[in-house]
Amino acid sequence: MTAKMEVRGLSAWYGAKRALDGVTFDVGENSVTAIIGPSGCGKSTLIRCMNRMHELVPKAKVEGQVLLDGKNVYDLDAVAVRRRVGMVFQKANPFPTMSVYDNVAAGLRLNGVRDRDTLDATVEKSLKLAALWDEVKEGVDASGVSLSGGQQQRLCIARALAVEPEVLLMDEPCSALDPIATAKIEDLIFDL
Amino acid sequence: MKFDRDRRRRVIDYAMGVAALGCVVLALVPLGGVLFEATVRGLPAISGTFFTANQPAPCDRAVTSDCQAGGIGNAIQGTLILITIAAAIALPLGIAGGIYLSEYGHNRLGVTVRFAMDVMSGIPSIVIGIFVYTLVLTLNRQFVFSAVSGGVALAVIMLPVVARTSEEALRLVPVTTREAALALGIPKFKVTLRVVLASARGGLVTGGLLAVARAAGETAPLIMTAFGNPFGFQGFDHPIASLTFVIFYYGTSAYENWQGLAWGATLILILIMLAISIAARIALRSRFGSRENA
Repeated sequence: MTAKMEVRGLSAWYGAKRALDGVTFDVGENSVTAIIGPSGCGKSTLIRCMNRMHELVPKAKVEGQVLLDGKNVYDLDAVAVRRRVGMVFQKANPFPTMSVYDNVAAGLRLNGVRDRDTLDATVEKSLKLAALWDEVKEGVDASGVSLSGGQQQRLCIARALAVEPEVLLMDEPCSALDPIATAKIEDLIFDL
Repeated sequence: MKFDRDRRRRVIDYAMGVAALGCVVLALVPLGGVLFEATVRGLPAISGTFFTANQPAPCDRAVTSDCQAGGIGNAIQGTLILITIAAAIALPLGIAGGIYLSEYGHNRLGVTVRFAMDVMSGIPSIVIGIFVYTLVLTLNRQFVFSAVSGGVALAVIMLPVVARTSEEALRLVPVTTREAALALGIPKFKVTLRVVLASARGGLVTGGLLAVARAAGETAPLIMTAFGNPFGFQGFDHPIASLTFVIFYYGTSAYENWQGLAWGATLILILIMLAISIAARIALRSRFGSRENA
């Protein structure tokens, strides 16, 4: 199996506090890699370093390399990296002012896609992938925050999938959800 | 013994409650007084021509029999024009400043700008009036007493209010919302303009309305800039009337019909303020209402 992403000697800091110390591992292509550990051990920090979200925190610092298809993401444009390496967060965070449809379409729209048919098709496909389509197809114009917690998290997954990332990072997407919603999202992760 | 202590506690508790209520009533007396006086004296002045006619010639019924009722249509029009000019300048600049402070101002320049805004909002408005007067005098004499000059003075007053309230509104947008957008590979300026601004629009509207209300109630800077004008709009380079100026000028005059109009203008100004405050509250409520579901 070829490695899609390779993490090489990655260290990260929040100010003077060191959160990661020389982490090295590979992520295979078309596979699910799970990272486990006690809370506060740096799992979130690690995956935030993998799509350059870590550097958005004031006073954050990173050392080491994260290779995406053999190229260090820290040598590439951060925005371009984030388009290729999507992310779902610990807490569902749909855009509060947007409808279900607009949430999913946001990634494409704000990157310049205007064509209505493309948007419609992508929104439907992404919502189906996130196993949310059947529940919201009647109300894609409803507010994204009107959905239940589990639905919101699946909406966020659909939103991340809509830009067709090569890698999808998920930061404990089920930590705030009940067992049934968790099971749905776990099934979904294996389906992807 | 125990019973007595309990009883004493209750009596003190009750007395304190009454004292607190008394203070509230006392604090509301000036407000009630202003509203009552403005209504009682202002209502009779509001006749058929009140909203449409220009300001009349001064007269006193004791001396002249046919007094023109006149109106303050030109002052209402003037205030609206002044506010529009001021808002057109201050809202874009102020919101842009708020964006800078909230999204990029985590550095020494940001701290300085924020401090400057706070100082600016504390500058007495008469000082801003003389500043704009001098500024315009240096730039173009033709505009010294004009609608543009008055609008600029009000804009200077509005600017710090808009900038600081916009900053606060934008800061209320959760970090997770920004991160969600950034993680989709959307460039930061688009995240700010399309996601963060949209999420903060309730707060932005509220801030804008409060700034407009603040500017609409200013008199001092207008004395030296807009100057006042007994006629309707004559051009942006001409002096222009305003409600506050009418109150100031007519309220202190010796003529009965002018004094009546000043009271009427007072009432209208209070009602405009009230309307803006209510609109601001509604905008704020709808914002928080939508977020309670989150």
